[in-house]
Amino acid sequence: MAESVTSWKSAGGNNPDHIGGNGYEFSYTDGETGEKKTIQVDYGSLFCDKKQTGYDCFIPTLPNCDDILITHGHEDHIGGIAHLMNLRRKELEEKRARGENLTIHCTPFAREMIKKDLQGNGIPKEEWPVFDIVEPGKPFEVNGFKIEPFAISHSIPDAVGYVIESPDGTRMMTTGDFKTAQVPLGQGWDDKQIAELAKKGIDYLFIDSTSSIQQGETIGEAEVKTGLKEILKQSQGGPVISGVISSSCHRLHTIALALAEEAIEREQKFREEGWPAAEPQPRVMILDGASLLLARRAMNACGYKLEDIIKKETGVDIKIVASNSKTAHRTPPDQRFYVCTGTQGEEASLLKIAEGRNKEISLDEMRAVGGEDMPIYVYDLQSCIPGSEAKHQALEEKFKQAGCKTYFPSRYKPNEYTVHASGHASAGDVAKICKICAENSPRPTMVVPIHGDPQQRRNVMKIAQENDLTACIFPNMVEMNSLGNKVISWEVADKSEEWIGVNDLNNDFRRPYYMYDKVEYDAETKQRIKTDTYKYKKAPRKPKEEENADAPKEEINETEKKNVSARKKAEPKRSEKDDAKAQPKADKNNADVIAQEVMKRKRAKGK
Amino acid sequence: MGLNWSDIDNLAQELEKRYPETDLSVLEHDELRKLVAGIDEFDDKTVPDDDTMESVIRAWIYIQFPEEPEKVGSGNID
Repeated sequence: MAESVTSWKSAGGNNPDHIGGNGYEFSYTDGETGEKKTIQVDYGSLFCDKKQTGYDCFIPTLPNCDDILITHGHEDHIGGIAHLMNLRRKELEEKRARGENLTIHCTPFAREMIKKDLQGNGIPKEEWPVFDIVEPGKPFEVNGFKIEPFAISHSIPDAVGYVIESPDGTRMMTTGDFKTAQVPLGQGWDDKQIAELAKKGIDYLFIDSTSSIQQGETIGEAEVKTGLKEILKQSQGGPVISGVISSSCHRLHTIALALAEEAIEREQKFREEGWPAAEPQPRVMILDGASLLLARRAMNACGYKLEDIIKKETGVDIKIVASNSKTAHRTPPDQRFYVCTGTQGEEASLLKIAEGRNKEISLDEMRAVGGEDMPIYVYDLQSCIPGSEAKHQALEEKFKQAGCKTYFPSRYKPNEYTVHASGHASAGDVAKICKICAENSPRPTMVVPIHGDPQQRRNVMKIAQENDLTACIFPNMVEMNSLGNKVISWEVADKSEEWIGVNDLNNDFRRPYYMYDKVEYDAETKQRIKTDTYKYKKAPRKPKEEENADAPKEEINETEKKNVSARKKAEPKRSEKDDAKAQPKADKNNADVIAQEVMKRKRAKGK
Repeated sequence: MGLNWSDIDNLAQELEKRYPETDLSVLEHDELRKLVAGIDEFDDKTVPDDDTMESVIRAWIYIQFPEEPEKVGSGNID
C-alpha cells in the first residue's frame, strides 16, 4: 500500500524577478484510496507593464479545487478570482446546479475587496462565489484539512495567516504578508497567539520574504503619526494636499488621529496663551479619488468608521467628506486636508491637481479664496515604488512649479519625516517568528521562504538557520511532498513558468473585454511565449442587450470579421514593428504556430 | 421602457445628473433608494439587495471620479 502524502505547490508568488501572483496549493493524497484533496491559499494577480508584455496582468494557473483561503485583500492575493469566475464559468454553472459552490474563505475586509473586483470585472452577482467569513482564533475544517486562522499585522485591515493541518497531521503555517508592529484597526500580530499555535507543532513555516533584507523590525503606524504631526506643525496657514494608497486604511486612521491630536495641542497652546477655551477644531479630511471612496465604504461596512474611532480615542469630532461634497467646498482652504489617489504620479487625483485638470480641487480656486500668498503644502504619504521614480519625481516637480511646498519621501536615502511604514516583515520580524516556532514547536520546523525575490528568500533562509531551524528555498512550479515533517521529494514541473496572461482588449476598466492566454515564462532568458488561448463562455447579459455588447468592434460582427480576415490575406507581409503593435490583439492562428514551436523545442530537449 | 435596478450604469448616470454633490463615501442604502425613486424613468418595485445597491454606488463613484482602480498589492506597494 502506498503511503499517504501531503504536498505543497507554489503556482505563483515565488517569482524570480517580480513580487505578485500569489497562489499556493496544499494537497493530501490518501495512500489507501488514492484520493487527492486540495485547498488553495490566495489567487492573486502579477502586475506588469502592458506596453512591454501585451498583458494587463498575469495570474497563476487555475486552482484545482473549490476552496480558496484568502490571507488579505490586496490584488496580488485576490486579483485572480474574478478571472477564475470567467474561465471556469461553465464548470461552476454545472456545479451550482448540483448545489456545489466555489467557496472563498476570507475575513470581512478581504470579502469587500473581492466583491469590488467581481463588480468591476462584470461578473454577474448570480455567479459570485460563496463567502465563508473566517475569524482569527476560530478553527474550521475544509475538505479534510483543519484550518486555524490567526491575526497578523499588514498595511490592510483584517489580514490573517493560517495553520493548515493535513489529514495525516502535518501542520503547515503560512504567514501571508505580515509584520509584527501593532496596527490601529482590527486585530494584529500577537506573539502569544503564534506561540500557542506553535506549541501544537509546526512542521513547515512559509514566510513572507519581501522586506527581509531590511534590518530591524518594520515600524508601525505610531511612528508615522509622530512624523505626520511634525510635518503638520510646519504646514500652517494653507491647505495640505496628501497622497495615500487607497487600501492603506491604517494610514487613513493615522492621518485622522494626527489631525485630531494636532487640533488638541493647538487648542492647549491657545489656552496657555490666555485665549478663551474652545473645542479643538481639526482640519477637515477631504477624500478625492474613486479608490479612496470605495475603501472608505469598505471600512464602514466592516465596522471601521473613522469618525467614531477617533471620537473614542481622542474625544474630538473629525469631519471626513468627499471632495465633491458641499462641506468640502464650504471649508476654508487653510482648514482642508486633502487625501488623494495617485501617489506614484499615475493618471489620478494628484496628477490632475498638479496639471489643473482636477474638477474638484483647484490650486487657483484655493488661492483666489485664501490669497495669492497662501502656502499650499503637498505631501506624499507613500514612499516611491521601484519603477515609478521618474513619474514620482515629475509629479513633485509639477507641484513645485505651481508654487507649492512639497515633501515627497525618498525610498533610497534617510528622510526628514517618517510618513510611511511598510506592511512587510523586516529581518527582525522574520527572526521573531522563527524564534517563537523554535522555542515552542515540539517537533522540528522547516522554513520555506515565499513571496520575495531570490535574494530576499535567501535572507529568510539565513535568518531561519541562525535561529536553529532548517530552511529550504523552492521556486515556482515545484511540488514538495512530505511525510509528517520530512520532505520526501520535490519535483520541478518545468524550467519555464506557466501563467495566464490577462488582456483587456477594450483597454477600458469600465467595460473590460478579456482574452486569456496561456503564457510560458523562461526565468533565465526572461522570454514570454504565448502557447495557447483559453476559450471561455462570456458572462450572460440582459436580453435587451447584445451578447457581445462589450466586445471590441472587430469582435462583434462576424461578417466584418470575415472581411477583415479576407483583407489580411490580401495585404503584403507585415513588418516586425506592425506585429509588435498588434501583439495585444488575440490571434488564434499565431498561438497555434507558437504552441507547435514550443512543443518542437520541448521534444528537442527530450521532454 | 423604464429603468430598473439591473440598469446599473444608466441609473448611476441619472443619479449623477440629478445629485452631483452627493458624498458617495458615506451614502446609506436607504438614502440611495430614495434618490433612485426620484428618477422619473425609474420603474421597478422590487427591493434590491445590498450588493446591487453597492454596484450602483460603485458605478456612480467612477462617474464622479473617472480614474482607473488603484492596483494595490505587494508588486506596487510596501
